[in-house]
Amino acid sequence: MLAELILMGKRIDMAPQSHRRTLVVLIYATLISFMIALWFVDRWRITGVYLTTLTILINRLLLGGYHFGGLVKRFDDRTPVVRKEPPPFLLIGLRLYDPRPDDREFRNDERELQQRDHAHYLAYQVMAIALIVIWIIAYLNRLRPSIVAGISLLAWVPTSGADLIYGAILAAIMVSLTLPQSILLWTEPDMVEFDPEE
Amino acid sequence: MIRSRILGIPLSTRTTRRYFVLAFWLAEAVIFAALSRFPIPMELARTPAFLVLLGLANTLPLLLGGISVGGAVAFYEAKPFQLKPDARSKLERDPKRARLVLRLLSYYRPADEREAQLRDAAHHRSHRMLFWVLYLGTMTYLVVSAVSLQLLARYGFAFLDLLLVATMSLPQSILLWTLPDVDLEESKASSPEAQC
Repeated sequence: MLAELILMGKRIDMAPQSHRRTLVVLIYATLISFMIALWFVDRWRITGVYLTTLTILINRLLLGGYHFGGLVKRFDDRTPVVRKEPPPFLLIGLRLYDPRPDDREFRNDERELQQRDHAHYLAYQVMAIALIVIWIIAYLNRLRPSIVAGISLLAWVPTSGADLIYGAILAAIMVSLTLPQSILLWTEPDMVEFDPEE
Repeated sequence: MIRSRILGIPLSTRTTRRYFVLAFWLAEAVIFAALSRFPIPMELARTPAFLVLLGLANTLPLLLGGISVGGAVAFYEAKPFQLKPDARSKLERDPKRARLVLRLLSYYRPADEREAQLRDAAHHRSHRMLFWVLYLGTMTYLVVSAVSLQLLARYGFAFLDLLLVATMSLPQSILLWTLPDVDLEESKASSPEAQC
């Protein structure tokens, strides 16, 4: 896990646990706000794709894990794609050329693999509980659709059980893409700088 | 981590375990094919045949264990357990009951470090599979709901239930499928019954 995040050219210290927890809270607050806002647009029919894209972008820039970039190393230990031909002069001139990262930056050691697997174990439990809730809503919807429409999040918003199930599955996809990384960021204690003299 | 026998089927060899997993998924596939024959949402959701099929589909994963005590895979969340001194002395006086308690305790054995790692790794693989199933399922939902709502009413619930069953049984299926043959003599020697 990286100890700092480079966002729009600024270095943000992510060594303290409190900073990482704030980031996780902000990410989920943003996702929830977007989800609520986009419901009013088209009940996520087309904007659902945008929500998934936003989640992938969050992974790419902040969380990492399933994509290169972000705080957590890529889970599958995949080597980043590096062009064989030399970088264009323009990129070098603009200092945008990104050299091949050091092995330590993308390879997980044994401890990190264990942490990754345990985070997935915890995330899987959350996903299973979420699916059980979705299943109960779907069954109630099959028995009596009016019950589900009545207990929907906002009673004054006309919604159907099918919309609610679709929204819940969309939320489950977003959570499955972000939860393991969030668990890692949330639980990892404060990082201390390694001092070889100590 | 894996019990030596379930329903009379020996689970020590990987081949037998794979047949067991295949039989489980085949049984689930048959049940879901039957469930998807209930096209009308409200009336048939209350019929005994539907409820029996639904109950069967959702209780069958308990056979694989993991989330249940007594299945093929040891219960994941088993915590260290210590008998109280008075309960221990009572059991010492009653060997028949002691055997029964030890048998029950052998199903409730906390995972050691290696087993916890295997369990976590299986969940990691399952998590990735589940994500793709969810993603493709949602895309299919969007397409089908635009084409035919009848088709959605007919297969939607069965698909959701299949998703739930898959979530409950995928990690255990992976463990049963991938773990190598178990040395029975060694596992017997390390069992709580043998140690007692």
